[in-house]
Amino acid sequence: MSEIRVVTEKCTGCRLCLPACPYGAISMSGKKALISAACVFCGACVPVCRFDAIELFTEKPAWDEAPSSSGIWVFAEQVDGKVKPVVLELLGEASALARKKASKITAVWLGPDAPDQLQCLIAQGADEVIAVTDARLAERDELLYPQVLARLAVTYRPEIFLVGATGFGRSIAPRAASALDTGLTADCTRLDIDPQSGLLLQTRPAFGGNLLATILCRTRRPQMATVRPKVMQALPADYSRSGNVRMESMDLSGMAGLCIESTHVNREDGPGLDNAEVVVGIGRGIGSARQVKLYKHLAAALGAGLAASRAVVDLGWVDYSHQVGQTGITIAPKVYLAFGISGSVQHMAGLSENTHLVAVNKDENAPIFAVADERVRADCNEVAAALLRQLGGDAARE
Amino acid sequence: MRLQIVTQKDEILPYLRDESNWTGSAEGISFPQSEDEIREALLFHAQRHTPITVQGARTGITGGAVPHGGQVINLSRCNRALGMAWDEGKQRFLLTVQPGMLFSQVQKGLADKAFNTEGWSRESLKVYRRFCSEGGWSFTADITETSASIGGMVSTNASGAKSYLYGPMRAHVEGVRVLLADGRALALRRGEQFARAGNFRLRLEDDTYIEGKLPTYRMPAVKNASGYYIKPDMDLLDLFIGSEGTLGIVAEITLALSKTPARAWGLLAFFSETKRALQYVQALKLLGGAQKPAAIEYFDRACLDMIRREQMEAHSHKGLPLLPAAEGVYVEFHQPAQVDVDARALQMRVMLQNAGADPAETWLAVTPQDLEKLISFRHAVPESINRIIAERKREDPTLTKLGTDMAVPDDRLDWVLRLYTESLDKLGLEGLKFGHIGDNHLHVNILPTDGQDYLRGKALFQEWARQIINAGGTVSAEHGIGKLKIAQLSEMYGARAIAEMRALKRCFDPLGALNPGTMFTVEENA
Amino acid sequence: MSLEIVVCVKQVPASTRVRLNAATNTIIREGIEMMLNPFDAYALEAALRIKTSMGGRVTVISMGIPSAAEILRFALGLGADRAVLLSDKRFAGADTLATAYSLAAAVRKLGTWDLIFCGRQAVDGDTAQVGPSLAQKLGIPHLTAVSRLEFLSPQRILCEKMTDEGYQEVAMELPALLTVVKEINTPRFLSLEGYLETLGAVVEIWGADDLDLDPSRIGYDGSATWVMSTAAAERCKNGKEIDGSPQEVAAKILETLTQQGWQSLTSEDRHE
Repeated sequence: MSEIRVVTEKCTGCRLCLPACPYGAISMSGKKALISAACVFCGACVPVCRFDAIELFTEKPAWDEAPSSSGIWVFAEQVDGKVKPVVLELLGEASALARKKASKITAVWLGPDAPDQLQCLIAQGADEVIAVTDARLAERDELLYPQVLARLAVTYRPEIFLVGATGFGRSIAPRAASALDTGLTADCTRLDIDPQSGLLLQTRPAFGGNLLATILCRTRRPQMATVRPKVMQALPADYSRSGNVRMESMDLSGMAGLCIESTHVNREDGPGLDNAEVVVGIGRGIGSARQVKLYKHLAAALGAGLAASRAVVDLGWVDYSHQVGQTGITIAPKVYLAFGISGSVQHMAGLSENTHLVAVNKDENAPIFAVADERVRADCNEVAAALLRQLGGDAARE
Repeated sequence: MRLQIVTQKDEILPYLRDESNWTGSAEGISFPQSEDEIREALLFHAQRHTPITVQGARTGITGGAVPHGGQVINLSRCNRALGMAWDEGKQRFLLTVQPGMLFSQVQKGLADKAFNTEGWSRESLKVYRRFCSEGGWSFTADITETSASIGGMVSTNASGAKSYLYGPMRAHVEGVRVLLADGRALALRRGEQFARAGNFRLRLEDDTYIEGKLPTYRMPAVKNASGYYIKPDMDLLDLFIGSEGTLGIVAEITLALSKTPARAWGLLAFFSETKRALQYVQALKLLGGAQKPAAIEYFDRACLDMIRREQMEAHSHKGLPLLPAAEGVYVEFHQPAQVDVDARALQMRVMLQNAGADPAETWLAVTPQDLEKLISFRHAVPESINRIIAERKREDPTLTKLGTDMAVPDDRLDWVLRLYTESLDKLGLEGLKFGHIGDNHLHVNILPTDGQDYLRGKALFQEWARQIINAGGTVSAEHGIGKLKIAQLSEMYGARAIAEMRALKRCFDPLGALNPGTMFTVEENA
Repeated sequence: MSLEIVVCVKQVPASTRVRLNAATNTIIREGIEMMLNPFDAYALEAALRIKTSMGGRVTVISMGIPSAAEILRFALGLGADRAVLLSDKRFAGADTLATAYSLAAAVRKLGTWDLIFCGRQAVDGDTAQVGPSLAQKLGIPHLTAVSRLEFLSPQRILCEKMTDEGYQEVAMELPALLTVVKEINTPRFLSLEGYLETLGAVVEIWGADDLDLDPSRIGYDGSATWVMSTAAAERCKNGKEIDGSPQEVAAKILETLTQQGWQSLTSEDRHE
């Protein structure tokens, strides 16, 4: 049983620990600190106390009790027979992990058939591919897929199982993990192997991206994680690599599936945010909905995509498809021109670290300036209007 | 002069307008970043007898920032916080800022406890550390357009919905530094220098004096931003608040902070008839002392209809349920403790039932997120009006928004609402009424469909102004006179008072160099 | 025909703003206000609308500390019929697996359920995992990111759900679990009357002993994952300052764009 307690003899009532708890679990009871049941034993408070008055006893992860397992699995998510880019990124990451702890890398393919291009998964880092094919797998069925994956995992006992944190991945992974009674960490932005224990260190943003938590899956296997797209690096394809594509026969008849009546794909107008090399981002600092038009003109004049912070979307100034960030989409353009964006970690979490960021904001203290490649402390609308003029456009004043 | 003056036409262009629809003209513009640079520019232009228009964030809607030829001094880069102090007498923190700092930046700096303290004195830093560790202090002045500059707020004695409880900008200014047209500086703190029986002798920083007589008019007993603030024995600091930059350039402002109230909550109630809405409003206005609401706002049926149309057609205003076909009264409370919220809620239920409204059909916001939704509804009304005008302007560029900013004494609220409704109906004009009903201050916006409407609307406003002035009200309760309401100012106070105001201005700015065209027409300036 | 609808809600910090104290390298959380997880408000609204249109009973469940009863009272004020708080020191420190296990035990204790709603994700944890895991534990189908819902018959629904590429229409037999996104509806406001009703509202509190569960599978010890460390997110760069008038700044931005490989569009390329 894990325990945390305040050593009241040592506690001086200085209250420094209160704001240090990300979960608000510490309050004052009289002149002494009191830790409530909201505590998740993360230990953030322990170093803050100057008087060593907080004692945390946690069970040591008993990794030597974990059932035997081996290999790193990567779910090869596909749409219409095409592998999603995040899968290649995960294979690249799996290769990096395998260098730290030797492991066989297996790509797991589910679909109506197994096209020849599955060989490319080998070229991108997989040592083998396990393919389950069945007509019922033609639809992206978030009830059926987890059952297939769980059954495969029970049979082959991988040590680590990575899934891309696409909408689909984030639905099937928890169901599969629950069926396997194993741990799943969502939306990881960094993975590593702990040199001491050999466990997968899974780092993910929490609290809207303001915190990074590093998570371990102690005794259950496989250690599962969904991983953010566009964060990890795919390897260049190496067709000299060899490996097997193995067809796995599986009887799906006992498995319930969804009744998918229709599937629709959104049409894209202009450069999708996904592909645009330059993206113009707007935040609350642009002032009002009236200003959005200026930025639409600017994006059009630049041939750029238009992104927005959550605040702007929630206000109804643009619709949700433009939202970049923690609860929106992730983008990785060459250049991001951020106008009136404060740079909340939630928003920045949606922007690739490799993007060249130009931040324009009237607020000198905007956090975005700490992470911008170029800083412009000025009125964003004035700069945008000037930029549009120089591109030959017209800010079309009301 | 080191300070650069920009003269390229296309670079000056954006600065020839503010949020009114006026465009002005100017030969050049400079952006000083300190009091010294402001003085430098002042003197430079004074030597050449060039008139100067001073700008903040240009969010004003009466054309105050629109230059009338000459040069522009834009203070938007003069936007830092300069220091903090502790007011032992009134037990509160004071924050000194440059005029270009925005209201929103002050709020953010206070909320985040993150001011750029570079260059602050040791004493200031000590007080700042104390402020940071204490927490719970804010700047409780209010303004609807939060991107306004502090200097601009001082200029117009700005107010917003919450000024019902906290007072207009005037109540939050503890001191100013002013640069006069000839470059002399004036440092004024509240409670230091007073007029006596309408005469004043103001001591400047260099120990010279400015003497004169205050105008003799009496300000109406309503929320007012028309003309100079004048009382026979007034604190002379108040001369510079609401004087729209015509007496001097405010180069530094010391603001008083207040303890942050513990909880803010709001209630939007809907009424089928104006009579009932007014009954509810009058009951709310009786709440005083610790029970006084922070704001009481009104939205007529046309306002709610407009938003509902947009919800249904344009799918905007997400986050708000569909608005009913009714009038709305919004009340906000800032309470110290939860138990007060519950007591107030019980009281509200009774008031609503008395006014024939259903407490189950109200929108209550007790969480910050819900409050934010109600705030966005309130802001949506003027924003949507602007959007509609913009669309109509595309068809007919001569059209522009027509809006009033008049307030009346307490006992005339019913009367003025009837006046607005009936006269709009009679002329078949599309109008929307909304605003700070707690202060008997409603904005009436007319949406003209053609040039005829526009002219009839303007004529109607003049008729209203006449009647409201007669009833002891004001033509401008918060926006100021600027360039657009000079005629109304004259109507309100009469020719003699205007002459007295001009004479007052001449005491400080004998050559009429500052903000020509604001508050007074230029031609008559000697 | 009366549907039993369950809504799972979570109390989260009102402000997810967390800063780093640079001096001590520790976390400073802003404010102590808690609120109903915003996504859950949409789930609750969906349930309340079905209650109105189809008839039924809405039970709101949450696992949390005693003060979380506040959001449950809020839900009752909005129109929910019953509120249950799972609160027990032994539930503390649960990861999503242990949370789903505990919630499943609570839902089973309710007896029957036709439809379970969850918000898509919680704004503090952001994992979006509890919904699907709970469905798996209960042995019922689930659908995530539901943006529209209609009843084809009393026990069959047609849902529109957002996918990565667009959307899908999926028909489901009840019982089923749905996680919803903001597109599904606009949550109602609490009314003054509703608020006053919450003052006397009763929230049932269930501890671990009140449920039929295996104590080794709940709380911190029942969790499969464990937070090893928490740090403030930092992304620091040595950026370059660009000064000057808006025109000068704009010119420099154009330079940057060109350097980064951007090419200006011809007038034919421009799409307006």
